[in-house]
Amino acid sequence: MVVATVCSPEFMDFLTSTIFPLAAYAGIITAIIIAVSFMVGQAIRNPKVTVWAKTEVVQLFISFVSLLLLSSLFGFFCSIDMHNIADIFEITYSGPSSMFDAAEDYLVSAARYSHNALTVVRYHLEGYTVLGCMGAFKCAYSMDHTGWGCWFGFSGTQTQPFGGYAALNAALNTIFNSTLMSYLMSLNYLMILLYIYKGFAFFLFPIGIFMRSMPYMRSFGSVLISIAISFSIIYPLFLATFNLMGDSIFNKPDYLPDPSLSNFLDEDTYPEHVAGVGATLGSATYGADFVKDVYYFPNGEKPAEAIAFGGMAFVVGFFLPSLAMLAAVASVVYLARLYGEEVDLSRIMQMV
Amino acid sequence: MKKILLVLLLLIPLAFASWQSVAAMAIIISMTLLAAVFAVGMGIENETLKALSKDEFYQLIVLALLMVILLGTDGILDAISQSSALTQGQPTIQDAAIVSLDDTYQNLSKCLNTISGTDNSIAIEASKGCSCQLTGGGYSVSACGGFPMLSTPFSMSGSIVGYAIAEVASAKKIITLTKDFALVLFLPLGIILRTFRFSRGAGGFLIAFGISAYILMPAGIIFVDMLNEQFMSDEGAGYRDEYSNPGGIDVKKCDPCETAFGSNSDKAVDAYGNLRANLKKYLYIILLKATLGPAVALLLFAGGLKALSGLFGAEVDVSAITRFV
Repeated sequence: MVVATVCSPEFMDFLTSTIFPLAAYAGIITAIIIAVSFMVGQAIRNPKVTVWAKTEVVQLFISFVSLLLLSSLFGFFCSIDMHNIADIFEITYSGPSSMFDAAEDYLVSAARYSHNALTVVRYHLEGYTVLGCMGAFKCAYSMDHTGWGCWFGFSGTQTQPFGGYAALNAALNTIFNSTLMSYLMSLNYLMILLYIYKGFAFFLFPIGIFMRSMPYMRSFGSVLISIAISFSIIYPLFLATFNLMGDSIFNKPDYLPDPSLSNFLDEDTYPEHVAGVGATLGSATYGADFVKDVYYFPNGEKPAEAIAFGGMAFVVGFFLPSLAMLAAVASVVYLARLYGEEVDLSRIMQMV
Repeated sequence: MKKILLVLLLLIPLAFASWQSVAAMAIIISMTLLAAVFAVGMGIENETLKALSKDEFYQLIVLALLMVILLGTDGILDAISQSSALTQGQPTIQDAAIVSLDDTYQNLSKCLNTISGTDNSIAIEASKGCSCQLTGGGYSVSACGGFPMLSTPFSMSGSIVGYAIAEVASAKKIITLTKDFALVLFLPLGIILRTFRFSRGAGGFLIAFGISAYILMPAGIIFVDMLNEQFMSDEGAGYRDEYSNPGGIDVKKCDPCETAFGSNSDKAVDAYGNLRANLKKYLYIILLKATLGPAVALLLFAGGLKALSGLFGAEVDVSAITRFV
């Protein structure tokens, strides 16, 4: 579990010992510029300069309030206990206490769930693919498992008893790709989250505070603050909220929608080296179903359940984290508007 | 008057249990902050600050109304979800949608088994080759060359059914989650988050997500079911049988050593004819119930999410979600 840097004492020290003084210097410089502008405006009787100075005073005040509110905001979200939140909403919750840890826990669990789906789908896909490549030779003039046609020569019929898995392989291939995407997206969102914990808050938030206090750099600072808050607070908040439903979403502790699918998590069932000889011999002598049942699917096959598992993994690993990302992006737009800036994040949305 | 209002506000936390008290406390904290901002605005005679605090105060009134709607009617959403016109004999619209999706899933599993079984039969016939060798001489022949043409349509069918099963499973997962959590988690938490300006977008989004997934998504499934039923009943029982009862496809055995003209190729053509005749029986389950239903549900969900999130505070670009369709 990666500890969110935003909650560490080092971050608070950095904020109070470096960023706050810098912001204070910038604020003083801005105040001096405003005061001079106001006096000049009065002296030359230019109402535009005077109005500009008055507007800047309000913005300086907003910057000051933002500084206090935002720093306390991080402290507030670091102190939230998810178990208390679950108690408030009368939900059974077994995840981590910290909101930031809970967000990480959601994505780790989503990756685990998607990986299980991937394994179950792959088990079937591999089984059908190997079986589909097997051949059998049925001797002519058959006598039970063999025939007279093979005694004096090589007479009989060559077949592929398991050649008919094109439909299942196509179905499973489609879902395999989709599940692989879900797994990779879970990891992708997890990497974004870890980057946010380690980089965003340290980088964008303090710079945003400093920039917003500088004259003419306010809009830039506002956008940085909006992005920092949205990705440091809203994105983990949504993931942590989804994690409150974790027991239901992931079917913990199995991370499987149906416990019987655990039979397909262990691929050691496959016969490895003996497969080629043993299975071909088996299919030629004991029949095709013998090979399939003994070597590849001793616990039966569940292709429809595997495909459905892949569909559920898509919701867990792709759909819900994407909603969290959408909420964070929507929040950036909203916060930027709050600070007086319009941001077009449609290109980022296209990336999502 | 102001003192009475203050006392009433302080009593709010005692009037509710659990999340309602947290929401009421959030309102009080927000109101305190607004009062401070308004006081500063008055002190420095700044109209912007005063307007900001007034605007926020209206938002608090909206929030209080939302809470009243949620509490007073014990959930208007519950009332909609229990509407007998939509529930199809189930307690709620979500239950009806889950039953419908379960039924569709069972039918799709049968379809997949049938398609897979027929595919297997055809592939076995297609792979047959006849050999006869004796002391270094002999021949090999495959007279079943007409059968491999059928594996491509079966491969496509398997792919389509696979998509359909995944779609149905995903839709059921979302509806099951929102059935259990929309009213107890998303809505209340959304309301609390909506109290504060910095989290208003997130709160509005959560409320919109809760309502859209709780009502519009199952409604999409039910609407398509109702349309299907109407379509089937208008066309009569014969049409229903013809279009909605997928069965097996006959595949005749091929003799790979039989090279007489037409003897085996006719069997492959017969299998193709059976396949074509049976294809339309799969349309109702796979295309209408399993593909159109979840697609309409997801579109309704995305449209509702966009509209409601705009209504509750922050419009969300749902183009990313609609691309899932």
